[in-house]
Amino acid sequence: MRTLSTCMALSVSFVLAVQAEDAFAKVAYKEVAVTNGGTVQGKINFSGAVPNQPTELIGKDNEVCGNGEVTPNPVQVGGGGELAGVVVFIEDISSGKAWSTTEFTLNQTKCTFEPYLQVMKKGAELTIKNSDPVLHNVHPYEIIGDKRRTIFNMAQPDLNQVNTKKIKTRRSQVVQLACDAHNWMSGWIYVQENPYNAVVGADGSFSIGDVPPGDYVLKAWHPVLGVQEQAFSVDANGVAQVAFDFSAQ
Amino acid sequence: MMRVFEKIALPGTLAAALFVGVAMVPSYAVASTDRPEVNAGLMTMGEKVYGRECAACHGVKGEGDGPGAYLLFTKPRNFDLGVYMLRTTPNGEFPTDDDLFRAVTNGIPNSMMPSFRELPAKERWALVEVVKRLSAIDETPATIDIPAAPQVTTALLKQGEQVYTRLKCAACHGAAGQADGPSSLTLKNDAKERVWAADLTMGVFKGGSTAEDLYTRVITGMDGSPMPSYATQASPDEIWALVHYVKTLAKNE
Repeated sequence: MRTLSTCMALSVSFVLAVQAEDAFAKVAYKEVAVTNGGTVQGKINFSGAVPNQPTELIGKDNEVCGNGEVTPNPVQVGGGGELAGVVVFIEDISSGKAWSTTEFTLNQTKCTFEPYLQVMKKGAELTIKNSDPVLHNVHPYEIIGDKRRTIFNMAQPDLNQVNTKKIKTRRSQVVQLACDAHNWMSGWIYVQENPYNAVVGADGSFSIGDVPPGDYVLKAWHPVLGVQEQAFSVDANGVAQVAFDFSAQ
Repeated sequence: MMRVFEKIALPGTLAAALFVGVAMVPSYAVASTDRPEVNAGLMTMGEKVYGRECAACHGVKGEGDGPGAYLLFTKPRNFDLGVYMLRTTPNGEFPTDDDLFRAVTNGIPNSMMPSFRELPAKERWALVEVVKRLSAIDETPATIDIPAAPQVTTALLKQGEQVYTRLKCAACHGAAGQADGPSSLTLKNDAKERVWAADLTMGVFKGGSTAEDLYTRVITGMDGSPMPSYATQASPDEIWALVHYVKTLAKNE
């Protein structure tokens, strides 16, 4: 018993020592004027059989939320293979254009989150409205690998009430929205330091402008299908074309 | 050299003297013993005690995956994620050192977390420092403000019942607080374990059952669980009325 507990104590010491070395400072993104920026644009496609996503029953508050089954986290593929619900972004860029807005909103309507998917500036505030006459609780989780941690959990019992809360992430860029009162509700927020990002339209297309000339890696993230990346180069006032092809893993 | 029973009896007598008849203090609040200095010696002590008392459930990295965790439901707290249910700090914030000390000292009623009151206070403070490191707690949030409690009258309890309706507590806790609200059927905690809203008629509450404890829970929510914060939804008077009404649901006040 003493050997086991000594062994455990030594393991704890090791863990604590390692954690102390953690967290080197990352260079913060700098907003500058971009006069000769280029554009990176393209389309996201999906190939092969569309996976069957789990469904949930609308089990309560049916007069407000409707009836039947819903797909909380869908894989939405159009007739021509175009994939919607993807965030496209440049991860590593140290300086560039300013965010066009730092006001981000979320609405709960008919027991769904609108928008389902958005990008937010890291550490920014989210203005949240309850447009339903039922209790919703706004419960964002930071997704860290296969684990999740509550960021906050705020009750909104009243119709049309609006509250503003900061979305604080520590280790991850992926935030999933939930409502404990209505377990089928789901939404996503991708957290970024820089504003070079876009949520693709229903036709799978995207366009990101004012990119300082240079070489970059463009990433595309889908809440269910994961992330892909492609290198690209853009000249001054030029256009770079990038296409992504997702499929079920 | 103090004998063990003397170590317990003296602080206990002092604690009893302090807490009799003090309305605003939780019923089993811990005596605020002198904090030991945080230094390498304390950390070494803490690591040793953690290895002996905590790691079996919480795991050596504090990820809630110790060798004994398979016996427990819900799983032990994952300190690495830094999310704590029982705090006197606002929703989404870290706990204070006192919050952690209280959990280690009293345990958590209606849960798998036992009391470690028999450990000397210095060892429990050492454990607080170890847990803070495992959670990378790098700030001390301000505690919430709890204003003076009103007198409990029939009118107050009636108001409390109305607040219970207005805040829609019944969605999870049920109309009579029996944990049978429609949303209670699908609740999950952060670890995606199936959990239930508290049965308010049981009279046992994880964070303590005094009015001040319940006030704190409603304002701060219970991070890691489905219980949200109502901090922006009601006035302090309304929350006091609510918690006193909730205490009547247990009928053993």
